[in-house]
Amino acid sequence: MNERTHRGALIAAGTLLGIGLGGFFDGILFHQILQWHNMLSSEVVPIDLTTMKYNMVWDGYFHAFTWLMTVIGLALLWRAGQRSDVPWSTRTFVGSLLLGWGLFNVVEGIIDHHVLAIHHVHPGENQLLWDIGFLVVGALLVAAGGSLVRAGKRDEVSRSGHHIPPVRGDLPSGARA
Amino acid sequence: MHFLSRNRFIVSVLAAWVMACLPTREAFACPNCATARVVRASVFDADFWPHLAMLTLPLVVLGLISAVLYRIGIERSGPIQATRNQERIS
Repeated sequence: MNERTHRGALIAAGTLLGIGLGGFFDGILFHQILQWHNMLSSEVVPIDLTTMKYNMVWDGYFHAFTWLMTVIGLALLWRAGQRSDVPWSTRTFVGSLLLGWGLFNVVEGIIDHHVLAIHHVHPGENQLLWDIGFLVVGALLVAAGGSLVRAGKRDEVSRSGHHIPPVRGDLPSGARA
Repeated sequence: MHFLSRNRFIVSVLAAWVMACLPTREAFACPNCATARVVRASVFDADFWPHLAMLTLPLVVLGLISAVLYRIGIERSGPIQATRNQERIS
């Protein structure tokens, strides 16, 4: 009998929530508290009230879309919790959160900082180093999240307590003997 | 009244907080002043859609990656179940 496990439902939910966390962290810390950059601060440099308000509007759009990703992540998480074929694994979920946050840094970093160059993490003399540091942090988060998600493959119980056999190729050590 | 008498400490703290806020100066937003009109005209100019596309591009890519993760996370677990059933039988 072939059964399906649907870890992807939890992984996608955690990843979207991680993307949301990464986006809000970036927006709150770098845009608002530290005021190192804004979404379009390399296009329209915020030097007076008008240009600052202009950048605030585009930061608002960025936060709106980040909020949308978070809402979709929450909806997927709610649905995953109701399914009996989704292993309810803390390792998978936390790993997916880290994976999403790391992916946000890597994808947003490559596209916005390097390809489109609409802003940099910390504009100035060492902006390339800051941009690369942002990518490195993202890559480390992806690696940490990926290893946690892999470890979560051994978790076999859904939220409702339904036992889900482990996926092909991931036999528990006792079953291999 | 029952709530107030049972939570006298919390009510006192809240009242003190509100009183402390009263002497602060009024804050004014600027939803339709000259600066706001200039900003609105600048945002909704011919570059609005290109800017919106640039802003959403990373999030669209991230959404697609999440969709791929959703798909590849569907795994068959049948052979393992079969192995376990055989173990139980033997």
